[in-house]
Amino acid sequence: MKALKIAVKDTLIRFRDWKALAGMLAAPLIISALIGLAFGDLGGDEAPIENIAVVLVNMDEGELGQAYEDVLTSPELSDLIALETMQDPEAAKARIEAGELRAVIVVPAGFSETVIPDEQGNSGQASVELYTDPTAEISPVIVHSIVERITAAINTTLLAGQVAGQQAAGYAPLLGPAMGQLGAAIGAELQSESMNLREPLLELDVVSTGETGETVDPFAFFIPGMAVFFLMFSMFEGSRSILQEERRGTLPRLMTTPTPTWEIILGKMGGTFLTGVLQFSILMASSTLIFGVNWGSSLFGLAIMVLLTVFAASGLGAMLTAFSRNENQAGVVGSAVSLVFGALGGSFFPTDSLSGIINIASKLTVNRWAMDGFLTLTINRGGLADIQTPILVLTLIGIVTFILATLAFQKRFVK
Amino acid sequence: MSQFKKLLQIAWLYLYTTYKDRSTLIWGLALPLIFTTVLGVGMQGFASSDEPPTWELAVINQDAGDTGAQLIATLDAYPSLHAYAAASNEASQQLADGEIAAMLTLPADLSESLLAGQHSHLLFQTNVSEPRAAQVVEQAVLAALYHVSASVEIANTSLHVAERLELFTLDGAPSEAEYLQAGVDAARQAQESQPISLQTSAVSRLEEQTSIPIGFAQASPGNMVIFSMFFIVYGASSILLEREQGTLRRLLTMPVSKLAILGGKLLGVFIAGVVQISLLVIVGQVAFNVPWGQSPAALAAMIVAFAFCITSMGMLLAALVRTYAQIDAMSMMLILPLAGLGGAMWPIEIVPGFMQKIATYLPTGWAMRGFQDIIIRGFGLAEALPAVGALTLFGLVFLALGVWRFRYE
Repeated sequence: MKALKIAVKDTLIRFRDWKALAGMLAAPLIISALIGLAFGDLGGDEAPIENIAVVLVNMDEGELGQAYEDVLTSPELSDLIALETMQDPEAAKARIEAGELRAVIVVPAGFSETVIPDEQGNSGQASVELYTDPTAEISPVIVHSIVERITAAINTTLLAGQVAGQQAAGYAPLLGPAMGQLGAAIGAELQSESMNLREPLLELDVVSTGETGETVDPFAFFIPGMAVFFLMFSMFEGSRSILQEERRGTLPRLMTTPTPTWEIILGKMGGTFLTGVLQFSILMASSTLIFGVNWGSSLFGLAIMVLLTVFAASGLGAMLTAFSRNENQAGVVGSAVSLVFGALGGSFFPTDSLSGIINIASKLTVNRWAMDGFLTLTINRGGLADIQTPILVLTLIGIVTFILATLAFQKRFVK
Repeated sequence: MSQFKKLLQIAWLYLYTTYKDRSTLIWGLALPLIFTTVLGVGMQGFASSDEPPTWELAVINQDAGDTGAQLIATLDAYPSLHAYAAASNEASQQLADGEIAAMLTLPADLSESLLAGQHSHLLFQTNVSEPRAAQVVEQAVLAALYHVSASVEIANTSLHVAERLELFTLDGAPSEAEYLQAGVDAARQAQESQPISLQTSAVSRLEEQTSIPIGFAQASPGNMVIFSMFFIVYGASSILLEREQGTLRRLLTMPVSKLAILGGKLLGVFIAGVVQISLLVIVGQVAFNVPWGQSPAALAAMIVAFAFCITSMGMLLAALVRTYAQIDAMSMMLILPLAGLGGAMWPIEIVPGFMQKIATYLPTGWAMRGFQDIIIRGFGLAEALPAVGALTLFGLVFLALGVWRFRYE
């Protein structure tokens, strides 16, 4: 079988070229490592956002400004908020613009004096100002909620004094001289309750529900994504080598041997396929060793998925190459398709959020079905029965593209 | 002078051959547009826009009293939340499917225990695959719970004050329960005008707050940065192709200095890069309504500085690899990590602090920051200068290294 010989020889050539190996194996691993670092706490126990840089400008001399500071520096918030204090609100706002801060909280001068009732029970209204970073959009929401809670706690205390005064005043005739004790009673009562964030009467029991109940390992998502993404690249590159040989004249020379043309073409495409299977298997093995990725429990399912993903990807690569005018065009189209398929097919972000026309486009990519199959096995711990659709679709893509590619190459080389 | 003229001729030649080639259009324009659309749609989960995203919160209200309904109304009033009463089974399914961010279950004795001053526990369920949404919603729910339990706490304080005054020992005094209920009503009324209000505003110089389509404020500049890098790095590395095909050697035999050859080539790549980025900006503005800020001068300075920086980076890459065939793998290894670390692939805000720091040492980090400062913060030329300066500095260093290490033969 001449085709097998050609395939093995081509595969060996690819794996002896260290620069090719860099693109096939090192690049996806390095990029996965980066993404893993960026999203390392995805679904972990820790809050995904921490140490939000916030500045408090407290210009109030009274106790309320201090109350804001006390809560913001409390141990409960120490992971979430990294608080600094500054004197000048404008300088602090400039630091938001410089990208150093996510939010600035300003408690104005005379704040406590305004809102705490005086001897006659008169009080005014005041505002706390929160300035946020428009380029960030999650941390400001969190800071806003926290400042709102502190504000609510202080408001509650102030309103409690106000309502207690009003209610008691409604029974003034009945209370008689005891009314003289009202101010002192309110003061004593509010003193006994701290000004800090009290535990509200309504408490939250937070439960995270996931499909598996265990935390999602970001690598279990990104490694298959990157593996499929880079597989596409190397499959296009592998098919391109046919055109390279055509240009250098080695292919026409092969054609003069008694080997039938279809067998040569099959051998060439087989080499790309074999390279892909090796590339993917090595990526799986090394990701398990380096990142501890759990590839699920269905070994047979995985093997089928690898073979079919490579089959569909190499078939597509061969087909697009066969219809390209020259090497350069094949290169551009290949890179373009790899990138677009990667984005559409869920190599960079989960496709759950896609809908409408983009979702339909996504389902036209090899990447999407490959990702569907692999994630069913890795994250959802599924088995062979759960990946029938991806198996069917990838098989179809592979068969159709290989037939078209073979026909087109035949036409091209048999003059 | 004649050397300079030759340099210009070489630059012109590069531009002519580049734009005659149809693949340039695919690379330079069609792809980023497709990408931007896809990523913009995909990023909606944590998109940057001037309106915070809305998270869905299903509330299973089993409360016999009226506190549950009051709580839902308070929650729904939050700008970042859409809270609604839902059936338990349906909500659980939606939560598992990731259609809603969280669900909250209110116990049957909620109103009763609240009035009695007893703590109640509310079950708050989130989806493990949506940790960021869960975090935001949880904070908002806590704030809303606070508001609702506050009315009861206010009434309780008032009750204790009345006890201190020994009101309930007097004849003709109301019962404690009556006093408490009246206190809750008074508190709810008082809560309508809070002594302290919170004023929130984003720090931005934009004169009119234009709304940026959700997802695109990140995806548009992000993709522009990624694609410009591919486009320009490939352009600069095409000098390797010329070396391999022998055209470079032929040029060297002519009376043209090496610097003029290299300079002409790079000038061509640089101009093509500027054209390419400008096209993307214009298309982003026209097709996706991405506002590119209010300072054309700042934007132009950023585009020129970025194109210069990346052209130099391509030159450096061309100096470091041996053959044109290696460019594919090497540019992938260079561009994708740079894009990821610099914040071009996803918002830099969502990565850990040390990764955010790394971005400040990378040209892509400065590029993203510069462009986003112009788009979102409304920076003008003066404020954009640090980013422009940083990119120029990167470019100069890359260029010096590249020219020094490049082998002509």
